[in-house]
Amino acid sequence: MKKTKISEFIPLIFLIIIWEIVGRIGFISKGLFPPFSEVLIIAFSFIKNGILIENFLKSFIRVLIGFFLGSLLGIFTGIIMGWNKYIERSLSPIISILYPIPALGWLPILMLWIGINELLPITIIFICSFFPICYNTICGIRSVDKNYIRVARTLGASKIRILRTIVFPLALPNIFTGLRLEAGMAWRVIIAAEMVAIPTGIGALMMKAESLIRMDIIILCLLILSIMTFLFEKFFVYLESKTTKWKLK
Amino acid sequence: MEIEIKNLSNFIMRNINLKVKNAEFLVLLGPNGAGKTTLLNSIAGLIPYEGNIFFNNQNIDEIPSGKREIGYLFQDLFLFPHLTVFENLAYGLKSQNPKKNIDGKVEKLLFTLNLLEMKNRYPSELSGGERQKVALARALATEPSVLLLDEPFKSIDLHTSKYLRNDLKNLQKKLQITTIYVTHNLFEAEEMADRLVVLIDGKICEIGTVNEIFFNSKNKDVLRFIGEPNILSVDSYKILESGLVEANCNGMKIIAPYEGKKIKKLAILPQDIYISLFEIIGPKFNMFQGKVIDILPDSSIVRVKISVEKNIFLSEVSRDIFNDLNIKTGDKINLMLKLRWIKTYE
Repeated sequence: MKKTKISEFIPLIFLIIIWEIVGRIGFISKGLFPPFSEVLIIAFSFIKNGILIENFLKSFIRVLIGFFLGSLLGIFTGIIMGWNKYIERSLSPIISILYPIPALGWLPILMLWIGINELLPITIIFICSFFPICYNTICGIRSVDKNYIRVARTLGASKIRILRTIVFPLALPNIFTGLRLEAGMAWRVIIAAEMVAIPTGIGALMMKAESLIRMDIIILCLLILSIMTFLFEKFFVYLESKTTKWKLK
Repeated sequence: MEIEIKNLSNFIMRNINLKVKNAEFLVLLGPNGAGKTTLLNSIAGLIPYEGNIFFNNQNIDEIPSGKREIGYLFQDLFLFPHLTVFENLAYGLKSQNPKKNIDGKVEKLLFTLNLLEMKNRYPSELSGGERQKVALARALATEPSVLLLDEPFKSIDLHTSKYLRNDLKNLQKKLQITTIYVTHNLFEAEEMADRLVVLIDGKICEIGTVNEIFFNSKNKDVLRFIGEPNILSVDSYKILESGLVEANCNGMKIIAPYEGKKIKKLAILPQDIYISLFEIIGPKFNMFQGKVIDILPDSSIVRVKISVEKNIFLSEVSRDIFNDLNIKTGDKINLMLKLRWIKTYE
């Protein structure tokens, strides 16, 4: 994986300085545009009293479970659909109909079916992850050059062995593209779902802050969303670099 | 392993009948789209076909590809990019016997083909020639009874491919493995083959030794494909330094590559004779002046018949080049025989 250079942080540091100066000059009321230092202060105080940790963990666990289950089933379904054209033909119309529906579009139905409990955000994240990852996996499996399969056949490999040792590893770059994009998307969706329908988590905290006109808390929540999206995406970039070493050679 | 193909047909091939002797090096020669790869794929069991294939008199039509005891070197090699050289070689052995310890066997093969140093490298870290060797080693790793090679040296430079062909030929002799080698390159075919099969438009046009096909073919399709080589009788010859020989052919002194054997004939294909109305620049050997005695147009190419002293040469150029040259019968013309492509025969 490419090492991050210190120079890459310079624009970020510059932005924070500008933010701090503009916040302090008083052009805009501090209530509407708090300086960076005040956001940091509220962050520390929320960490200290446990509010931030509690809400963050709620969102984090929902994303983790929903995303894990969604990607696992997405990869599995994608593999069997990409590998077997009969299964692909049977399931493809269903996937094609359901895939374009935005994850949040499911919210009203799921609220009525499941109710407002922990299962609701997990299900939303599951749906948000499943379809794109399934689609990317199908594309990945299909994009493997058929000649590699022919070579493996002449070498005496069984179908399962070909799938396990040739097709799946060669489809990994595509699968990781799906995982990387959806890992970030899962965070965006959970925040939106919590804002609309779930009373706990970072999204809900943000909505409470809005009703109290606490811009510092809203910005803090947005920063957490941004950092988590970034970290999740980076995690999959790292994982991809470890599992597809051959691509970097 | 003896191979017999009876009445083999499919979407390209038409009623192919062919016998390949045990440990023979058979070369399948033909233009692009002739069905050479399709025939190899049929033997490998990778595509459906009508007719029958026998290995040592045993019908293998129902036997799946992986159990046919073949080693197949594909045209574009298709080394598994995510596996190291060692893992690529071990793949077939592990597929056939997952529990067996195969490390020693793979190491031995790596040593034999001088690949030991690169065993932990990925295919993308290898040169073209190295990749070719690894692909050959992978095809041989399972100790197949039949080796199928589909234009294996097409994408590498001339020098490396000559060296690899030599290695392959020696290895084939050592292992005594029945080999079918596909190419559309005449000289490659001539260099490698125990016997040649010329395949054109999905049917076998001629089977024979190199000399039979190059010098005595009467089949029009074959002659059209191999280009009716110019064959000159050698009256005497003098070995020069640096691997060359000066041959006296009916009064003409022609420099040719010397391959260490007696020379009775020289051959050069029409496309390897360069012609010009003006004096050709460059080293002054194998350059002659002659007279155009006939012009024979043939679809996209034009053949020009030229008399030089007591010899007649046939040169071949594309129609575009011919139009630019503006040659007419009776013109005086300069010709140059390309040294690299002159072949000598006993």
